[in-house]
Amino acid sequence: MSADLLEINDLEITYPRGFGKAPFRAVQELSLRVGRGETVSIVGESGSGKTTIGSAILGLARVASGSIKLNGEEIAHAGVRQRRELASRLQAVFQDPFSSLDPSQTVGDVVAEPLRVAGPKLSAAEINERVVAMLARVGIAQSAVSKYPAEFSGGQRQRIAIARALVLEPEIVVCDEAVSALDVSVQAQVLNLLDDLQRDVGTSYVFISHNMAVVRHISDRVVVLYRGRVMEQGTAAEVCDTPAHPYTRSLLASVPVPDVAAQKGRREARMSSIVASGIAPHDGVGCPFAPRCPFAQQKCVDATPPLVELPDGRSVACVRVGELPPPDERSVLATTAAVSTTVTEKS
Amino acid sequence: MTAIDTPAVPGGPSTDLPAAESGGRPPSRFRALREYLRRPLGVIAGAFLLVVIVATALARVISPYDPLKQDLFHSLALPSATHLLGTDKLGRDVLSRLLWGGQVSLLGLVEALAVAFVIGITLGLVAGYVGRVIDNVISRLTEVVMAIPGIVILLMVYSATNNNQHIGMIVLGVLSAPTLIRVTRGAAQAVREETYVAASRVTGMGRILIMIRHVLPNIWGPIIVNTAVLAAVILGIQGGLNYINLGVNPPNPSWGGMVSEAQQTLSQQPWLIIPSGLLITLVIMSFMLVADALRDTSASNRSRAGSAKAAAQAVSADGDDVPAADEVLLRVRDTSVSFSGLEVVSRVGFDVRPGEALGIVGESGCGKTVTASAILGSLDASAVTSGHVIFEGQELVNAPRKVRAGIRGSGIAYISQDPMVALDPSFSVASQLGELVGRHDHLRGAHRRERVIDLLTQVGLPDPADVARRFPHQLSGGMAQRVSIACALAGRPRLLVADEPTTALDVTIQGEILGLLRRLQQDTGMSIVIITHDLGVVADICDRVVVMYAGQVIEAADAEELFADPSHPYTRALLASNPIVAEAGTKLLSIPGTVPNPADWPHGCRFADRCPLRLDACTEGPIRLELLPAPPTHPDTLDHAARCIRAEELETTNQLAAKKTKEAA
Amino acid sequence: MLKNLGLRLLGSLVLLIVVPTITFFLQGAGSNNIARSVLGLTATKSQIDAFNHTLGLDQPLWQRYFSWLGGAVHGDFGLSYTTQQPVQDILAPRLAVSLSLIVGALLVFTIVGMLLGVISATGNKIVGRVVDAVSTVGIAVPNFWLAVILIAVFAVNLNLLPATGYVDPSDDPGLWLASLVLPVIALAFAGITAVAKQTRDQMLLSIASPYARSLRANGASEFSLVYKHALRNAAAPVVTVLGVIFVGALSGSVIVENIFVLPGLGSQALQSTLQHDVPVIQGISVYFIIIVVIVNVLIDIANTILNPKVRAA
Repeated sequence: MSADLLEINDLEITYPRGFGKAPFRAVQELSLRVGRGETVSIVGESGSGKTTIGSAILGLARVASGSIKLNGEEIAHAGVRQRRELASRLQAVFQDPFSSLDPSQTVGDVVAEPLRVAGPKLSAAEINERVVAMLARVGIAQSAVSKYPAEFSGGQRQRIAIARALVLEPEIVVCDEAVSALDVSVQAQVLNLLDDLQRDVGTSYVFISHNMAVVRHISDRVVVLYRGRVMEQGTAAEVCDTPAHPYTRSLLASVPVPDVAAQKGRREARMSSIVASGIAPHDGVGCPFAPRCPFAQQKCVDATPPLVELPDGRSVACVRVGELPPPDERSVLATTAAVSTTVTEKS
Repeated sequence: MTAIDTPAVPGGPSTDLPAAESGGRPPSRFRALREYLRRPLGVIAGAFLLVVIVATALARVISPYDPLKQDLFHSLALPSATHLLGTDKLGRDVLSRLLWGGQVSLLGLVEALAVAFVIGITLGLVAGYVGRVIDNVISRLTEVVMAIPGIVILLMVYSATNNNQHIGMIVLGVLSAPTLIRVTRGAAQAVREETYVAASRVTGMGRILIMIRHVLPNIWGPIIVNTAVLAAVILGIQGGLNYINLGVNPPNPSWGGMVSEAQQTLSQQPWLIIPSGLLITLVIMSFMLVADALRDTSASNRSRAGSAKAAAQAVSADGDDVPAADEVLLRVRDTSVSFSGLEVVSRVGFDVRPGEALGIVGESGCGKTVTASAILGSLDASAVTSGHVIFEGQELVNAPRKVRAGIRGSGIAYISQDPMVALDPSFSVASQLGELVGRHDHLRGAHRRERVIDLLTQVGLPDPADVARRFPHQLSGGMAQRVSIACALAGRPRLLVADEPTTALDVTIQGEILGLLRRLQQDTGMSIVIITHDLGVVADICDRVVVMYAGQVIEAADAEELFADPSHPYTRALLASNPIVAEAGTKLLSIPGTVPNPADWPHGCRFADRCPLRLDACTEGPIRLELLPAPPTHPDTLDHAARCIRAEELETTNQLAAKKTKEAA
Repeated sequence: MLKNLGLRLLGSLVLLIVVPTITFFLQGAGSNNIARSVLGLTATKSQIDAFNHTLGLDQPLWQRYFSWLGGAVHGDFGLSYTTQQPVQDILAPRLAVSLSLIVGALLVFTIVGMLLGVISATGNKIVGRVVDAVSTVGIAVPNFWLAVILIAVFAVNLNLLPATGYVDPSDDPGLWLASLVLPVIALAFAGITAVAKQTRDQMLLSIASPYARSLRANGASEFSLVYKHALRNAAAPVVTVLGVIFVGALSGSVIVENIFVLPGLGSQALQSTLQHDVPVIQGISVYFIIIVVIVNVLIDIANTILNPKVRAA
């Protein structure tokens, strides 16, 4: 089946800025497709609008224009009733494991809520059975059902949040910075868990993150966002290993890697990847990255660069994309995987 | 994987201090009650209120006399066996009048409180949760009502209703509702932002259902506390009204009215002002104390530290056996820190040489921020520090204030994690930075200003004069961190302690700040101690690295050596679980479980529970941090130490792996 | 910033119209007893009709309201039902008395409260504990009882100060002050503890804040952290609390004036209430609201100066 599971077209999301001011455009001209079983990451820094897009998909932010379709069904303006019906297909995992579970509810109630609100009619025993089974799948013991979230560590809470999101076996889950608050070792556990569940159930993920390394690891495709606009999108390998847009390049060059020698080269690449160009968009016209772009020219801000598809299939919003030198080899992430893996050898 | 491992600190790198850990909190009513019963003042106040309420309710049965029965032969009597609290001007029994008067007061209180409660919660919840226009309307209305001197309205009401206490109290309830509206609104707004509410919305739950299931249960605490406070306030106002005979019709008794009656015979019998006035005061005070106790209860419920298990740690491992470097700026030796008997940093040791950048790296709850605070002398008073922190030959652990003050800013300076809260919001950049310049350089006026601009230029701010004029809220995160760095540079420090200086920043800004720190270090020759959870940051800026786990140094080495040759299983796992090093599409290597709480630190190797290379010997006793022999490939490598009995074995496998890679290449 | 101030002024205007309107109609509901209560039970029907006619009480309520409103805009609050004097003439001399009391109380709870707050924030633990304990008691003692005790101790027992009454400052400034001491204390007491508590809490918050930690670590002196940074950051929230306490004190002044028999607006308010003298009460509520509005504007201005975020907005 070629039809995409989630299809976003020309999405625009605005926030009011008070009387007499034009509304702030948090997201503009965003189009995105997510296939079945696919992981699409939306990556960007603060103010890029990545979380806003997730909120719009989930019905937590008001959509100004454009469409969001799930299985061809328009959901951009879904009301409470339609949301309840959607809940069995669309779920979410949020960032902060300490705020994502209601502290006054037991873990059992937390995980059972989607079943009770939006699930098929089930008896209490059946609900309990499903909750326990789901918790077991995320590695949480049955005894947790009657405990409260405060009794669990950050990583465990995130597992519980994932159990809640997946208990209805949704077709797609929006993961909004789902591992950002976790320590690196726990983050690895949760990323592996998400991967396992995807293999088992075939869930699609919209993975929202600021962390290029995580994104590169988990995604099939990546969308790079800056100030509400898509700068570049393509497969994870294309975007992370041969970045085309100057912004993607600076983003990748800025990630420090745990290797002193490699990092020395990356540091130099990083320093030349961002400059004060003195060229800025005005009245909302022009490339938003131009002021920091080492390749910026006047033509970058004469009009807003459109997202253009390159021969290799990815899309880039840069008018100079054909004239740019290839990316600094030191700055991409593919070249750095080298650390010994003997740690798992059981003696 | 262990199914339920110990509850641990949140993942956010900021919460590195175990004292702030939240332990288990099953919010059961019984627990809350038990917690409340631990507060003697609250218990006494609650019991007193209960006695007053019961006695008043039973006035008909227990009051010794008719409250209106006059006995002019025994007027103005002092307390005696027949009249326990004496008699008033007309010989009426004071105790009986207090009991009957209490019915008026307490019934009125219940009426007013009920009205305030219902209005407060309903409007507060709607304003706080629904928000937008409705919130605006309710908030403005609340402001208006709060600005009305309530007495004006109350006087009218009593006048128009022929002194009807019930209506008066209902109106008082309406006038008191704003406090509860505000509290409920604030609490509901906070809960609305919680992501579990978002998750429920995604599930298709309606507003009302969410308010009942998720908002109300989580905001009862502040509502109940403030209702108790409001009870006290209402009782005071009601007493005042009764004092001027509003709401009661003499000769019927009321507490406030009895004070007024007593005042008339003040010169003949001053005793009479005591029973009624004191009773009102005690009841009001009891409501306040109950409120205080409730507040403490809900606060402690929220942040119950693992201190219950604060059993003193067994004597920990030997101090870190770090070889002394020839030229040392900062020497940390055997430094331990405990909070209320619970050790959170155990005999940590390392050296910082002049001009060197040292990274202290580890996950949350490993004690790295506490270690930094011990260096800075900024631990709070409840912390007990032992061991040595020697800066330029001077001992700083438990040093006199003066010694510390002489070093702050000029010897050791500091930049914190979140630049947005590291600057005083009430003062301009020029003022704050100027203050520090004044302290260190004794400059005034134009000279001070000049130095401020110099410092701002030094940290790479393009328009320093403009930045100087700004207030902290007018700065972006990156600019604020640069200003913080300028503040730290004001005293020309020899050592800069940076606690997660880039964690709160975007990755491109992080790059700029790391570049700035590196440049400043080269320009000024100062040393840097950088606390971080990110090994990439360490690789970028550090010369030496100290890896901490569960309060101990578990590995220390030159940065290059550490990444090439990690010799503690934890260090290796930390490196391997980073998605940067994983092949795309493969499983990440992860460490099962989490960092244990300080109360649960094992006697032997603290990482043993999670270690794939564990031997029986690992758990038998404390493991020492030992110096590793320099590998033949890097004979000039200095000072690589690890706290693992298999470290040398690991080192060998590293070399084999390196060889293999080389051969393959 | 001006926009904010404008919005607040608009709110005050609403207050100025709404409160007298509420009080007017509340009183109107009981207006048929007015003539009875003024003229006494023996008055004949024709006497009552004549009374109602002179005061316009035979007109419908809404008409009376608008004619009152029309006058009030020009500072004419009509005639008192009981004395037939213009309301503004009755209230003018009483305003001075009430202002002396209320402004006195405002000064006392602001100055003493902030002083106590600073002392308990900076002093050692014992000082803090003492202030805490006194605060709990201080907030609990109702002002009317405190007033009676003050009278019992300082007037009746020690005979140091007058128990009741008021002396005009033009007659004898010393006696004027003496006549105000006890009422001001009784009225200000609860406010002192509230201000002290707020000052202390805010200062401790500032002293423990991340910016204080940074400033201290980089060489700022303890003195500056407490008396410059903490005090400055406590100022705005304390000023806000002052506004709330002030409105409470205004209400309290009605009771305190009655206890100490001060010829101010408050004692007149109670008396007129018992006499159903609507125009006088209306006048008093307008005066009260104007006082509140003035204080709120002052507080807004203070907040604007104290809070850089508001200033920039």
